[in-house]
Amino acid sequence: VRDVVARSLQIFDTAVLGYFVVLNTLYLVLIAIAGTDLVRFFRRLPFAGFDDEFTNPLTPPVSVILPAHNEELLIVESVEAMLSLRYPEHEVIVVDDGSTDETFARLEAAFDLVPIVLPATGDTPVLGAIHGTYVPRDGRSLVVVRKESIGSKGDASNAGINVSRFPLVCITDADAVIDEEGLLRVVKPFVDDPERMVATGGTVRAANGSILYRGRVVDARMPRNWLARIQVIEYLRSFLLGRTGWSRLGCLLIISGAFGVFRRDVLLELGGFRHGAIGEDADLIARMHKLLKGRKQPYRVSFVSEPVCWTEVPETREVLGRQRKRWSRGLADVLWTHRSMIGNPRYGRIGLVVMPYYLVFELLGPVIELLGLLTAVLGLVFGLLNPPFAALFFAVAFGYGILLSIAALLVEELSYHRYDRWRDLFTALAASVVENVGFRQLHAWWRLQGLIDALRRKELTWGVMTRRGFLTEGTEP
Amino acid sequence: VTGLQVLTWAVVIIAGAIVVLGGTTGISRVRRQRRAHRRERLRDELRPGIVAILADPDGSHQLPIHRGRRADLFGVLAFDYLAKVRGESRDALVRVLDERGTVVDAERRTRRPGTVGRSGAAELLGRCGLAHSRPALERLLTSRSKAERAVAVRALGHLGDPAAAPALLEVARARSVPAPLICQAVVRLGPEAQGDLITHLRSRSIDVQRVTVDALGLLQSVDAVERLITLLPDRDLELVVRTARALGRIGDPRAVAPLLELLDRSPEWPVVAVVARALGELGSPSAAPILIELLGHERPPVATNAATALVQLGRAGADALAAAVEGDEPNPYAAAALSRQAILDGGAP
Repeated sequence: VRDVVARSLQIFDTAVLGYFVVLNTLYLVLIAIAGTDLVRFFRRLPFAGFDDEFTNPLTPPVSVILPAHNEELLIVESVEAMLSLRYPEHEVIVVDDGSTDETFARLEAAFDLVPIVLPATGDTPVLGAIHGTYVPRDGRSLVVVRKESIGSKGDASNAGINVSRFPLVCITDADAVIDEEGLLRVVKPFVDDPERMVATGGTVRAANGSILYRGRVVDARMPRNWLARIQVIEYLRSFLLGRTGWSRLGCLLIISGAFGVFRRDVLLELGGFRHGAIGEDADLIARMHKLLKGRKQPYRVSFVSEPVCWTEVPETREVLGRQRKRWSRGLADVLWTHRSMIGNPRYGRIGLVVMPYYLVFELLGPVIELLGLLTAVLGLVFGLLNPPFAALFFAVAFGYGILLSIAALLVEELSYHRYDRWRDLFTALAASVVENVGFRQLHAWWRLQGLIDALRRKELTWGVMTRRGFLTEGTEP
Repeated sequence: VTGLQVLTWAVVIIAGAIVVLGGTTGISRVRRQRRAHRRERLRDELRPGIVAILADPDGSHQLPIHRGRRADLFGVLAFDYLAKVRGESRDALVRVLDERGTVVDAERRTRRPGTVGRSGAAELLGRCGLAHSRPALERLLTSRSKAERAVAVRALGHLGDPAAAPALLEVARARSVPAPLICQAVVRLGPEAQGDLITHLRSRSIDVQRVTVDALGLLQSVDAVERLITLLPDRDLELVVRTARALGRIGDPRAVAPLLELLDRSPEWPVVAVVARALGELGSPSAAPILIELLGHERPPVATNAATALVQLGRAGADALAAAVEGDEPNPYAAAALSRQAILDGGAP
């Protein structure tokens, strides 16, 4: 019996290892695709024509929507930075989503806001009651909407969409910092392919530790906190490379809610963000695919790696864990809601490749990873597993993960190289190793909890994201 | 081969790959920093020559003939400055580049293989803006590469030579470059291109017509008004919308009556919305009654545009808006327009 159990354990662990190898190889392929895409992008950058896009009177104007909930620390600086983005014509719409702090008072004082009556268009459904709309007395392109919070960013975004005037809508976060030319660059695909492009997204990076001046990141640095450092690597891998790769293959399912641009008419047709959706950004793109593929309309959803949106990432285990559980629940929710798309040839590559990938490798990944780990440890403890086999098993699993992170780091170094200091490079290399020992397993545990919560349909608690604020020029990190 | 052996080999390969990638990351940083340092040094060496040309465009400048990396970097530096300077300084820099054979070399490069090289050359030709580069750029309009075609379109616009108009409109017919890019290039050709554009309003290609209408609107071509009015009864909704928008931009009062007629016969809300806006831009009080009616339109963009247009009409519009906000059910669009205007006028909303 012992031999049979030992043999079964070994077979199971080999299968888990195979799963890891396939997953990481997929990532590696995506990194390779993204790498070639970035090379192509950089070679063409000198004649990309961003200046012409800026001066073209036909460049579509954009409504930038910032849902804000208790963002008193950064809101004024953030809105100033959004208003001064280099773009021919854009308006900024702040949706104060039931803030209980000084968010609105600070906006009111900084921009000399006065109330204005705006008609309730009802273009997209909003559940939270609208308390009022305000504009600055000096005529700047800013609208502030105050509404009751129902704990949903989607609801706040819908309120913003309803007062937006322009054909393109950019959804971002109130604490996000967008590069000065970020909007111009993320809109470029709409200029290049105005008929088919329906949504684009930009890269999101961790801003912790970086130096800000007037709402712009002027010196990108690695954070001092190890959890944040690991997230820098994670974001690099998944945003800069993973999504670039998926986009190149025409298989983009997620455009981050922190920085995405959408065609307003398509948003209205979809009824805006869905109420009750936990991963509202992925849900929106899934519905977009469903709608447009369903009626065989040619369209494109694109990821642009160059415009960067900087955001503060959690630095404590508690907050990070809550965020990751929510992400996992969000994914489960999206896959369950759109289960008819999984493996459905009607939805092309999205149905046949992307949705199954997210189901098998992203949603069920933590189950398999933790089961593999658990059985390997139990096998070792009870002497059922050959110690050299177990050691090599772990070495391959962790080693491949480290390899992947370092490959992402290399592509970053060869392309954008935002982190210019040697100290930051060494820290990033160290974080690539550390991530795989401890953090990765903890991350799998959080994701598993999120999945269990989704299965149990447990009520979602948002919690509070403790912000430390960014470092501004002149302060010592 | 046992599983253990496979795993051992896998570990060795992965460890090796980690070391190689990590090392490459470090080496690439060293190389990049050294390259940047060297480039900065060369820039410091070359910059005074270019700045001297810009500062004294009429003077005679004997710049040394650069070779190899220096010549490349001189071209890059001059290229950067061309985007930043205007007038005589710019002309002087272009003259220097032309004398040094940079322009001829770029024209030659538009024939060599490689999208990046050809597009880079086209971009440089566009920035130099010399009329003799037109044939080289027009040739690129039929390139198989979309990027090359787009760069050539933009570059032809920068040349500002009205003779490029037919070639650009041909690209619109082929739909091989996004229409907004073509339109921008055509507008850059200036008012001298109007004649050609007005002729193309009768083109059989709807794409050419759309681009031409947009361009004439942006050029505020009064000469085109009569011909544009003849397009208002067209069956293509998109063309009608663009024509109404163009007539609004031009601002010629001859367009008021045809636009009002269009409202009578066109129930499609995108047309109605654009016509309402155009009527505001035209500023004729005779449009007030119909705009008041449109305040109650079921589509928010139409009602919003009508309210904005009424504000633009001046006194007649303001009175109508004031009347619309009175009573038991004040019109929200009129109220919004009035309060916006009050804020802009410095009063309380």
